[in-house]
Amino acid sequence: MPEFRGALPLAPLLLLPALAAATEPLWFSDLPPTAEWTEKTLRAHGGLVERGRGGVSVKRLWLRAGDDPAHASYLPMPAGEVVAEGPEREPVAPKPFSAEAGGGIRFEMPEEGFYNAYLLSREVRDGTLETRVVKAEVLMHSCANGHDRRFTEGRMPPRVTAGVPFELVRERKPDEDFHSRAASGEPIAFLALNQGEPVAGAEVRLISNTGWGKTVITGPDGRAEFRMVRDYFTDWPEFDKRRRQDYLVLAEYRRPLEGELDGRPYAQAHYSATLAGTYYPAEPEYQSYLYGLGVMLLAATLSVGGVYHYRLRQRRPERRETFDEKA
Amino acid sequence: MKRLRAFVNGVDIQRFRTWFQLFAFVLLVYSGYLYIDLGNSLPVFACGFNDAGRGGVCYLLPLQHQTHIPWESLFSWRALGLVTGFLTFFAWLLVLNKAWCGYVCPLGAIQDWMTALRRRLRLRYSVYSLESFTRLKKVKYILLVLLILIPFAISNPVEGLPHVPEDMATPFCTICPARMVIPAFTGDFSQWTLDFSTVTALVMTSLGMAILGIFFVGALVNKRFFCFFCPMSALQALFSNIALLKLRKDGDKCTRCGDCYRVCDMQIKAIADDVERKILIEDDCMMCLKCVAACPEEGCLKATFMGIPVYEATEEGFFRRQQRRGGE
Repeated sequence: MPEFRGALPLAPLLLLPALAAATEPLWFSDLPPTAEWTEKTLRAHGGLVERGRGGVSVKRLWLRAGDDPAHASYLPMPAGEVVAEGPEREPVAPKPFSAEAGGGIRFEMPEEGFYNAYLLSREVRDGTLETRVVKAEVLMHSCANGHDRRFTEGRMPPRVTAGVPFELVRERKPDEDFHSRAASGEPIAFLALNQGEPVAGAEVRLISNTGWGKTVITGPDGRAEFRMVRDYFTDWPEFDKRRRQDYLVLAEYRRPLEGELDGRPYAQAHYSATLAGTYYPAEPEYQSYLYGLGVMLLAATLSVGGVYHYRLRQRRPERRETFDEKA
Repeated sequence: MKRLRAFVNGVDIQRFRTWFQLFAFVLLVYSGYLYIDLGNSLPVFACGFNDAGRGGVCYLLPLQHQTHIPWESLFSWRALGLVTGFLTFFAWLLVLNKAWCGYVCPLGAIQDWMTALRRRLRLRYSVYSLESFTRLKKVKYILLVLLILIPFAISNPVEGLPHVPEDMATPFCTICPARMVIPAFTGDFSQWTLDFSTVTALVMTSLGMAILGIFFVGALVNKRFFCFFCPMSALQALFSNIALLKLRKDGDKCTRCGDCYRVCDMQIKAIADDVERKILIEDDCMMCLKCVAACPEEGCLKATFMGIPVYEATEEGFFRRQQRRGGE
């Protein structure tokens, strides 16, 4: 396997089993584990950030375990290699943070665009090379930096990182920009890629915030498309259009591959990858064109009536002298 | 030079303005497709909600974002955005002064086109009475203060007072008709909705759509209907006296014929009545220079840039324009 650029080997922070041996899916999330940590974050277009030295946005990603995005536990960072790169493919050096804070990585995001961060591990188990890729794709955007369309379009396409054996890439929509958000009820698609090449036959599973899940097998183009489920139902007074929900995508596939790792032979390889993201209620859930047009037309009609009435009042009655001819 | 000056002074300013407005409209509403971006501190309603086509953004949108800031951040690096945004706005304003409204503003152009439509439809236009005019002038200042204070109040809740809802983060944009009208020119009607998610959002978007309905009727029967209430005009007015483009009047030459007042779309009476002040830029003035074109007195009204006359009332120019009009 080629060397990962900007790789940061992490020593086990706690006495945990190796990452590949963990049975539950692992994934990165920017959702803090406690209210205390939430207070330290700011909402930005790419999710929650902290403010670093000189005003630079800092992303903190917690490692979580489990396939239920709403209730997955927080883990200290296990052994593995951390790779991250910025929007211009520049290597980024993430720093692990302590288990007391929940465990994970943090890195500065000085540039506008998408940052990719990975936690990778390989291990031979029962004659199978287990390769695990935990990926986070995070956006850094501040409106204060402007909205140059050419710049934005240049930084929108998804990237794959050299040396990462298997990864999930979220496909962009044609009109997507830094302000776009995934919404319930709308389609969302992912590509399963092996060293940048599409993987056919990979099993891709999307799990919503409420635990709803769907599995799709990728075709020759490595693509798996889902329609994000609408699973936020509440009494109307409690409805929150900014309610963030997390989704989790898991992908895995096997292929025959003979080799040896650390003196241990294997006859096949099993790859698994995770990628998490967020989605929000779709605008049609709480917006109405019909009522909008109704209010506009009502106001226009009343205005026309008002102008007509005003002009009628302003019109002076014709003055006529009348004579009583009999008098 | 003399001949060039005579030519410029004899120009049909109304026709020139129409074409300039069309050019500015295309630039600000469609040039985003060509990746042209004049920044986000423009002193005109180049609506930021026109995602696809905008060639720049109205300063009021970032101003509301930038004043959505905690008090302590006003003294940190975050205030830099506020300062640079204002300085950029000021630099733009310095050049064209209030002519931004008369020549560049897309919403202003739309209102002028609606006035042209009204003429075609042979509808009578309305004017405000002097008392209504004096009262309405204040509305734009109130809106300006509110659009700064409300986002600031969201970030700085006062104990004991109710919290200002987050849905009022851009209070003016929510009720501004440009948010609905300008994106519609690129086929984007996504702003023409009511937002039922919260009571505040519902009230604000309803108000916005109601103002849109009033705007369509108002702009049809009243010249530059919305400009009387425009907080951008109020913001510009605060600095218009130090801008480079100025409207000057020589009171000694004024015969108080009132032609300048009669052609003024903004009903500015001072342009005819005031013979004392040298610089006459009222807060409602959009520097369309129709008053200069209508003035028959040599050098009585003039537009100057850094003190150099660029368009001046001349007898020759006045009669040339009259002849042209008579010939049409």
